[in-house]
Amino acid sequence: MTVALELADVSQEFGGGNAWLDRLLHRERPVVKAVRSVSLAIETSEVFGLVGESGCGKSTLSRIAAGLLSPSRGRVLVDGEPIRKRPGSRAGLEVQMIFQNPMASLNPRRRVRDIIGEAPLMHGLVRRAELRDYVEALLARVGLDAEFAERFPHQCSGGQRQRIGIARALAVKPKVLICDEPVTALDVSIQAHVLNLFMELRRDLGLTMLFVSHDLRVIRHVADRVGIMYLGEMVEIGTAAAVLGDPAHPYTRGLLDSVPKLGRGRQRFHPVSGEIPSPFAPPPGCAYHPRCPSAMDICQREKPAAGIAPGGQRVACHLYRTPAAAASAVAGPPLVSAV
Amino acid sequence: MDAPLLEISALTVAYPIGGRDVPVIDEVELTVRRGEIVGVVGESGSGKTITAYSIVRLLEAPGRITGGSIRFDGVDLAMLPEEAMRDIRGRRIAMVLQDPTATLNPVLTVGAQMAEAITCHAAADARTVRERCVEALRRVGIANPEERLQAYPHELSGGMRQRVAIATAMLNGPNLLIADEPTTALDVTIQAQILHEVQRLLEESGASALWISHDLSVVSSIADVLAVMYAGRVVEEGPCDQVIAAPAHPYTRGLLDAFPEANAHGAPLRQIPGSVGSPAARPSGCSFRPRCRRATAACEGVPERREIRPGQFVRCFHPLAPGEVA
Amino acid sequence: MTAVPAWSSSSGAVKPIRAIIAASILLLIVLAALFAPWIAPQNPYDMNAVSIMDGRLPPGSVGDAGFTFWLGSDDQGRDMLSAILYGLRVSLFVGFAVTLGAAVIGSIMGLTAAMAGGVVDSIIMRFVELQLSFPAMLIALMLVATVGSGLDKIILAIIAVQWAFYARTIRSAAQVEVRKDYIEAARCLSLSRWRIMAVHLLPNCLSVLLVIANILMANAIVIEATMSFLGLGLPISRPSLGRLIANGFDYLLNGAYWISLFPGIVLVVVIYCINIIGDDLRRFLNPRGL
Repeated sequence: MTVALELADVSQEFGGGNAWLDRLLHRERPVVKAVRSVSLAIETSEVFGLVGESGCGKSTLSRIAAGLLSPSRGRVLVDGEPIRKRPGSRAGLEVQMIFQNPMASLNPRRRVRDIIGEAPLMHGLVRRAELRDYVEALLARVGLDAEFAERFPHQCSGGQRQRIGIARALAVKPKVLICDEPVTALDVSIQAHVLNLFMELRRDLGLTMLFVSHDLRVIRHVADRVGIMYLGEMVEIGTAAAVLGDPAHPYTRGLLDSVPKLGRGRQRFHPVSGEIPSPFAPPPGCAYHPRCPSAMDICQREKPAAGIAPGGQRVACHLYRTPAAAASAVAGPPLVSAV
Repeated sequence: MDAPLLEISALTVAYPIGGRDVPVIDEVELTVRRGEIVGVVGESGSGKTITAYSIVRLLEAPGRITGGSIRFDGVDLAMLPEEAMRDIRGRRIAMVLQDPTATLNPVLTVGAQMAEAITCHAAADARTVRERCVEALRRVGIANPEERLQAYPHELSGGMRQRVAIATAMLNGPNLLIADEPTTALDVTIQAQILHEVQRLLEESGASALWISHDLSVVSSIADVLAVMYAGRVVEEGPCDQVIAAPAHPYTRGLLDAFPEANAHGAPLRQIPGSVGSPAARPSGCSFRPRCRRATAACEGVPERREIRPGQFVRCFHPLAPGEVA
Repeated sequence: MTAVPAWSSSSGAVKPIRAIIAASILLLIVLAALFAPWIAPQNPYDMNAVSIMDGRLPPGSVGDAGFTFWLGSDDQGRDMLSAILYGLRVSLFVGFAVTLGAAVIGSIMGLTAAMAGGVVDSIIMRFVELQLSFPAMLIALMLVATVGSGLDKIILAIIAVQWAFYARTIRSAAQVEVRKDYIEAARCLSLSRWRIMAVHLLPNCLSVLLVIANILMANAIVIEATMSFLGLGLPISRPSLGRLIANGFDYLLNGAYWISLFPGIVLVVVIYCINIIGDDLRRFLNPRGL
């Protein structure tokens, strides 16, 4: 199996600006390390679920993966080649993005057929004479009637708009879809429709997906492999069964415990204590240690290196510090690296 | 038997759309007993938010209550003059909304806003007010409450702001707390914290709550009674565990089935076909008819509210038997 | 805190009766100005038709040649009604031309600033701020004093003053839009920057553009009128309403008030109508907004 999308040691900082200018003017410009040394590899036709809460950097990472943002460090490779989008050029079209907010993701002044048909026409993927049929075929593919082509976004519901967004992405024949919380803004019954559509597309078109969500239930259903992010770092990464079934990192365990479970009656919550720290002031050592029930002395001094958990997943936690095991890990995706 | 704290009967609210009065919620029946948490579940267009705002008479014109009654401790709120309503709002019935950024005034400190909530209902000296505010913040689990009083809303995180909103709501010891999607915008771990605090607060104070959400799992984890709304009507109501274990209405069944955890991993999620339309374009009779696999000619009439099992009410001509698949 | 469902008809949208009346009046005025050469009773700038013997006749009086001066005549014997019609042509032409020019230049600058961000944005905004920190009138006067008067120079001078308003406003509106997902989607699809600006950004800033264009058009007409009044505008052989007002200024309080008054009234009516239309347009486009 080939690796369709790879992020190699990607970091992203915001607010750095021109350091010499800042020194000259004697001003402090806060730097946010939104993403810190994240590495992951997704195989062809695989769905990788990226989970995290506010400030974890998953949105930034998704934009880096889509080629919309150039990382401060590290590389993004699609089929082994670095991705580089250029306005007006076909380079980098293989990776497309599905956005979270169905209200804001479509140009309110354009008809659906223009929204879907614009990019393939501009890039010469389809001739003007064939455009109408092309758009109709795409609409059918996402489960919408041909008459939707004449509508404006405000005449469509949230679920329909998400489908149109998917059709727009499919129109340029991508290999990889980056889905940034695509069903979060939808009602539960509509979520089911759209999630089913994603699974169909993956089956029929062999698409690779990076599926970003804060909703563990959705991730559990669609993802093959899962990565958990906290404050810009990947804290646990492995198969969905391992990470969600037998979580290793205390944060993952806290996350899973916090999810309300349906059908188990009144729940007594034992929530994770404390607030998510601000990305401007990450705690020293392991970023999770202020909230961690298993925190040890070493956790506030040293950043944890990668270790292997019993379920086979990679985890960045001092509880699993087994350098020997990490060193002997043979094939498979790159390690979670320490900063 | 105790008289219920809140009893909504046949409540109908209409908005003028295209020249005629379109009922947005229709003959809604809801009961909240003392010390009980009633969860209201519904998707967009179900009318759950309008119901909540109608109770406290904050419905914006041109919407208005066109029928029914809202009996709160025996008094019909729908008929009450505005001054009397102002006394009840914030003191006996308190509201917490989804977006704490909108609830809290950005130009006032937290302390100032909380003090206002107290003093607008009863005179009190500054020291007592301050002590009550500090105590209220402590009870929702905020560390360093004295410091927080001086903070402005934008200096606090989302979860913190929501806690402040809840603390403010509980300041005057209300009998009923109405919470409209209070945790929807929050992270999962923060949501768990808030739910934990609210559970504790309500237990301690003995207040009742009306918890509104589109997330069935959140509601079912804290509510005693569950009411499911669809297209402006309460289609099912009953003890929470009972309704979830043995739903009677096909829509409730559909909602439960659509949850990812109710489906085998990787299998297509069972979905409710179609979508809810706008209130002006609702089908006559049972509004779920176009999406229901069990619909027959009988469903062209409006189903009455019937008690199908002890304590469980449903509006359906073909209710599901326990364990039956829709 | 109240609940207004998204689908309810926008409350508070005023039936734009005022705007309809104002637009009708304005339309009549524009048509009158357009067809002035044909409908004006006299061409006031034709030396042969004008006789100084008819000077300063009050409104309604009949001149030597049997010609009725409905709105009176000025000191040179020119018919005021005709002069006003011709003057309107100039004033309105200046208004439209300036608005078109400033809007185009300002929009391009504003959109570029919003899309490019960073250094480009800073540079453009410094120019805009520099421009805006001087009073418009002052700059226009300075420019005209430097390059000389004449219809084209006046128009260019006012454009040079007004583009900054457009640039700043369009930039603000565009900055809001640029953050929205549909612009990110366009970038993700590798559309060219010009295409994104013209097809995606601009149409969504159009309502803002229309509103300020409206206000600034009235403003342009007033600037030109003021300059003409001060004698720096157009020559008497092709006067605008401002010049006409200037002409009769000396007679305003003693004697032939009509030489200044009627052009003044017409100017006020035009500006007022434009502003009314703008006001209702703004409310129509943004019923729940500002």
